Amino acid sequence: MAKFLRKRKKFLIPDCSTSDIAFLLLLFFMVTTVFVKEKKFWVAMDRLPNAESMTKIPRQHAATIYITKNEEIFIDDFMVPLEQVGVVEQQKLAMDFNLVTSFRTDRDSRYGVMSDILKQMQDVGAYKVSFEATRKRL
Amino acid sequence: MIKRRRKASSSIPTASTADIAFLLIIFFMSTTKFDTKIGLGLTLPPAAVEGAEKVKIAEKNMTRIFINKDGQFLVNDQLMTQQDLPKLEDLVRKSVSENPKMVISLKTDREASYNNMIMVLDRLQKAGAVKIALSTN
Repeated sequence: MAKFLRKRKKFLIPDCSTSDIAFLLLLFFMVTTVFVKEKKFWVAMDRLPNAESMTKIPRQHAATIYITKNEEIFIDDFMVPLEQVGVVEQQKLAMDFNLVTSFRTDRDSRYGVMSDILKQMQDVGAYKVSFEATRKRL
Repeated sequence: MIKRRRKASSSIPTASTADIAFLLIIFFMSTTKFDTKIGLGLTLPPAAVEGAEKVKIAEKNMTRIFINKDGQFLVNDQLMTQQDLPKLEDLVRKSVSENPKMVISLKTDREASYNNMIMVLDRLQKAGAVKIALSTN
């Protein structure tokens, strides 16, 4: 009995373009990555109040004001005395008209400090504010 | 007769570039931490100018909430605690839906905890209140 041996076709997936795809992805990540301005987080996430009805803050327009439990105030990476907050906010507003000031305040701090800062912000025209919070765990 | 010399090939081996690129991608993907900011958004009103005419709000268009330093809430002369927050939410939702002109005045004691103020503000926004006035004593 004659045996017919068929020649098997070789199936190869072309992989010569994988390096191009990989470099494309790499370039995409490198171009779109935005580095955070703040080096230290003065108020930890677990010290923030809990809330449910929250919205996202546009990262590129955000300036963060940290208020610690001891009522020390930091804007981005610098300690700022209470009476100077308005001046710093005014400078930031001049650089970015769509500035959103995000408060990262320790939940045990007094409201009085917040009120003083909000008053200064109203005076300089920085009206858009956001109170950072963590999502409530049910 | 002159023997021709074979030229040595000068190509750079590129077979491993894909491996290197993928290695870098995996490194970036595993070390990248997304820093998303979420919070309770609010737009402050412009500061009051001296001599400017004050806008009077009719009492029927106003819901007053006061937070004291002990964490108690006074809503239209009705005393509430943290356990009554769902009740507060329902009350505000009802009043806002019945009267779209409703302004919620949230007055917080200077010595009150920031956490209490955020808790109430969260409930107000959840209830659909848009006109919220923040003040302190």
